[in-house]
Amino acid sequence: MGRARWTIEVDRRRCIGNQMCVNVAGDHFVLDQGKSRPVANPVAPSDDVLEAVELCPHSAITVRDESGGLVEPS
Amino acid sequence: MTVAKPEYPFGPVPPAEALEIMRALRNDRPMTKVSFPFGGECWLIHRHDACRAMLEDRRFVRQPFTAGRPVPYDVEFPEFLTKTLQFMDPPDHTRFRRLVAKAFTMRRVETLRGKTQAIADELIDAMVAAGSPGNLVDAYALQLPIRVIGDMLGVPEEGRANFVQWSHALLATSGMTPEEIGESMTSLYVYLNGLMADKRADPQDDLLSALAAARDADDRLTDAEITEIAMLLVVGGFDNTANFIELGVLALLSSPEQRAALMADIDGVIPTAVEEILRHVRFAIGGGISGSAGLVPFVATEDVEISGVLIRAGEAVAVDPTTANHDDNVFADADVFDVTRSRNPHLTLSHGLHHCLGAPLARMELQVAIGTLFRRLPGLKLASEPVYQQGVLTGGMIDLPVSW
Repeated sequence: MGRARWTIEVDRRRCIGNQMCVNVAGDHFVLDQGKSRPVANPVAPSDDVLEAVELCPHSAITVRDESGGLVEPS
Repeated sequence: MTVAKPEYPFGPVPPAEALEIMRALRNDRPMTKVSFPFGGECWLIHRHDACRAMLEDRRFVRQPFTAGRPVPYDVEFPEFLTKTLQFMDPPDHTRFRRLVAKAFTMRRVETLRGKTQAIADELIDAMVAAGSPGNLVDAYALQLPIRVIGDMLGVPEEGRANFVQWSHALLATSGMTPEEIGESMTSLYVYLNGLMADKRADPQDDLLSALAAARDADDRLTDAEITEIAMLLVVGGFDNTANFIELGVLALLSSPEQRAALMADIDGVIPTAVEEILRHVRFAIGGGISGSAGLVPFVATEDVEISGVLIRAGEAVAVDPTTANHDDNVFADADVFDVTRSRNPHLTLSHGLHHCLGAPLARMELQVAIGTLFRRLPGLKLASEPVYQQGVLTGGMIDLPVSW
């Protein structure tokens, strides 16, 4: 997946501002008015992003590949 | 009724009076500086927007309490808790929370719903077999979350028998000597430590095995730290959930219209009913309401202004969720118990960094426990007055006598 690009989505209706994503993947998530949003899109594949998806208490984060297919949650 | 100069702390007073005092408080000022019998002064924030602003602001930390500063509170705060996740700040908080957070996400918790349903049905079968009336606390409210968290952690049946005694000792605020508390803490520590050694040798698909493996993969973690996390999961893993099952059932038994609204469509209404129970349950039950200590306090690392009030560096500050949960700017008809309430961003489980780790699990358990009870026993009623637990931080009941 060398040149693959991911798109990060945060469902702000589900986000509770818990900041796990900001704390484990600070390059990719930022708190904005109490809720998380991606810093930039698309991004290079990243283990930190995958951990953020896995740790989000309200399962509010999804990651898609270029074709729109789901990378996580798989 | 109008309250000329609302004072805080207040009560206990009847719910209607408490609601008027809280409304006057929010109108008068965003927060009150309270002097507590333990730990001294602390700002208590009454307005919902100001609570959220504080909880989202990383300049408020908890480290001073871990380092030994007494927690401002109206009871002596159990020392055990001040050494746990709840009192850590990033980056330590992140390092520890990530060890267990995966197990408690909404997505993971949903996979446990079917099993939780089976537990609820099994417990009700046993209640029915034993005959009416019964004590809902022992027969149901404690058993359901203990079995769920016991399964998640991988604690065998015989180990769960002591959960209530251990937890109540660790959460004790009065009525126990330091020696008695120490004894229970040591027993729980030794028990979990032994169990994790077994799981390290023979890993299972459970949380204690995962923690043991995490210890092996990360040299910075000590055995003691891992065991303390397991202790927190035991102590935090069932007690509050049981309390809200008890309080929620009692509130519905006391509110015929809301009970009818639930019964009309249990599966459809139970998610909002559980949120409303978390927001408002003590008001729906009646009895005395007090305004005093709130959620666990923070300490300001620098001067911070919140809603026009200057909180100075070193001052303690906490959320008063009871008042904030009735803020008219956020909740429509805030004084009313409404199990179908659609917008309900209550702060009972906190918000932000320290939002309750077990929130998705607790919500699922409350939905299954309360929904199933009213579905299976539609004639449920209170058989006599409930008996409340004294001297334990989380409160709860000893006896909730019900018949059906």
